[in-house]
Amino acid sequence: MRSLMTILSQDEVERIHQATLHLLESTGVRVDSERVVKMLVRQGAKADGSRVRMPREIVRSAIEKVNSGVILAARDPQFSLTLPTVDFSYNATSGYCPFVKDMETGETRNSTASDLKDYAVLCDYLDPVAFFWPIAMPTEEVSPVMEELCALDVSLRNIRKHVQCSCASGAAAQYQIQLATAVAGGEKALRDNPIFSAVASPNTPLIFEKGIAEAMVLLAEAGVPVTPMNVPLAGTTAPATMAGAIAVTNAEQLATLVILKSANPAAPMIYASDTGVADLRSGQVNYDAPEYPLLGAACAQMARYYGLPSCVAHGSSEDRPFQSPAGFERNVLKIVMSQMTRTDLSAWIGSLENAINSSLWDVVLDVEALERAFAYMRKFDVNEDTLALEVISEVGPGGHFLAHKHTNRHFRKELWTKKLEDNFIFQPTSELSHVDRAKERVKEILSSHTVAALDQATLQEMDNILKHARREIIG
Amino acid sequence: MLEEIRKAILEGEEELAEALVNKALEEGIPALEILNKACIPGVEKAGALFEQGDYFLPELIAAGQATKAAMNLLMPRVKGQEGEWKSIAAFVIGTVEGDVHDIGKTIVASMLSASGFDVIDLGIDVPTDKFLEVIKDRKPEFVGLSALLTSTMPKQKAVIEALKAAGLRDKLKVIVGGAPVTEGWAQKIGADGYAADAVAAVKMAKSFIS
Repeated sequence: MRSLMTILSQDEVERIHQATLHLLESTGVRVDSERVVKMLVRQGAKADGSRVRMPREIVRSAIEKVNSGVILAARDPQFSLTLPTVDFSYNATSGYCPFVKDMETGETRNSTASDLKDYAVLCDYLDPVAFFWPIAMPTEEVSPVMEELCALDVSLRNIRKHVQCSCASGAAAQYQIQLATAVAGGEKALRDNPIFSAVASPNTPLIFEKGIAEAMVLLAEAGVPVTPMNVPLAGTTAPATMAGAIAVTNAEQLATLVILKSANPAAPMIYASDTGVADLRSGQVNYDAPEYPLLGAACAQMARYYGLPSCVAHGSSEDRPFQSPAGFERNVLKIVMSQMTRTDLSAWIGSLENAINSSLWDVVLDVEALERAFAYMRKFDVNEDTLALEVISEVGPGGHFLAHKHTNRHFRKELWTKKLEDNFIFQPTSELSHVDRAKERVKEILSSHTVAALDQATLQEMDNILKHARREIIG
Repeated sequence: MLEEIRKAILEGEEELAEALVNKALEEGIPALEILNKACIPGVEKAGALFEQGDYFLPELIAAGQATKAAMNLLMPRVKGQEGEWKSIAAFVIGTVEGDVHDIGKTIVASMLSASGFDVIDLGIDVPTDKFLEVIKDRKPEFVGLSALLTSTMPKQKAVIEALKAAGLRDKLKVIVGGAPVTEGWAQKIGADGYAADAVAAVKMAKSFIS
């Protein structure tokens, strides 16, 4: 017994699958890398310049090669994750925000590598953060490649958990793989235990930019799991219909699968989508739209249909801070709704203002809310003991269960016994606001928690890779 | 007849607007009258409905397209006439070099177009030199620079510097936008304004004119 939100019937899943095969075969996708186009043609795709059409046989063959499970390994094996998940979704921070709210002034400013380090240490400490997206970009870096490379470097040094990192070019992929190889202890070690996975995303609708396509191939060859998180927005970059948006999402996911499996039949992939809707008054993404978790549920269902693990990027409301316990609880329910889609992964913690801003204290507040959300996600057994037929018979019509041993034996395990006030966010006796208390908690954790350092030789090797990359890329 | 054309434009019925304009011309209604009494009021009404929240972007864009179709039929006939219609201003727009994000910039361009601006959309990944070349050639009142990556934001500054070097900076207003762009950044690089979305961009451009 557990809560699980689905939106598509089995027939509808099948229909979207068939529609996707048709889309890939007739409309196809644009792949801006000649090298990758050639590789796809060798697999049976039909190319007309950069337009690549994929006959359904090669898509089916890629689906047949889907791995039975995916490991998201961690620098410290106790934090390694095996997908698909059994009980809960694994949650991570939101990613790549160019801004951060300053701890001291509260003002929004450009984020730096030093902010990213603080986030990594904080999330190393917080248990509900199961894996890590580099939430703050090192914006002091002048090139996109160095930004992505430094994001991985800072993360690997400062958090023992799995790192899922953006990778948008062949150069970024090449250096990121080098860094991770150094930390994992060799190519085979990285392949067996990929300590990082890469977010390399198609550009909706239906475009694989040169850098993205070439990164995908390199990552696949190295055995690094690829998370092609596309962001179709119904109304602007996707049809203004739910089914149409899901079809575009699915086409891009399957096209990625074909690319990865063409490069390496054993390549691991996570079905990853941030499909949402546009606010058709402004054209901006609307992360608070009611369709957003519904589309997440659809993506999770399509992923399960193919046997792929899935990842979405929604959780908290973007509307913060919470003014009252009721506001906090409403946010908990929003997280619950998102977690009920039962995707394997979700990256959202600490995100503000449609994922371009973040704060350390919002990470703490989100983690607190997430722990409350887990209450709604619990699994309950249905068996002889829990059905309690004998107990019901003993009590009989009109009696009560308060005094029964069965009640005493079960209620603490089965029923939620905490009050809403049982968290540090709302303490009526404290003069501090919940934001101030969250900030205090951040400071406590950052001043007391240390992350075990990588060994000296590895750090040296990482330094060398960065130095080399900097010289090659910037000159 | 004029009312029907106005309605077709307001409702974004491109083919219908074209057919009605052709019919009106056949019936001998002067092109300038069709323009001023049907097309302009139609598209202006669409803009007003959008501003008050009753119209959404797809409806506004459809009205803009219907207007454009009608204008294509009318403009050759009104050229040089007394009271000839003129756009509010010319607006060059593009996403800066190294940046391939399209949709935000396109929405701003559509909205400007629907609001009566003559929009010259240079597309994405536009080199600084290209901006300069087009600005020299078309002499627009505005240039809009879009950047969606922190690493391409400096290109907005590069365009402004290039305009200065070419002695063109005070000839036009520079408006910047894009997810990571802020008011503070706009000031820092010497832009004339920062627009958070399409509606803000149109309002800002109009405020500079009046």
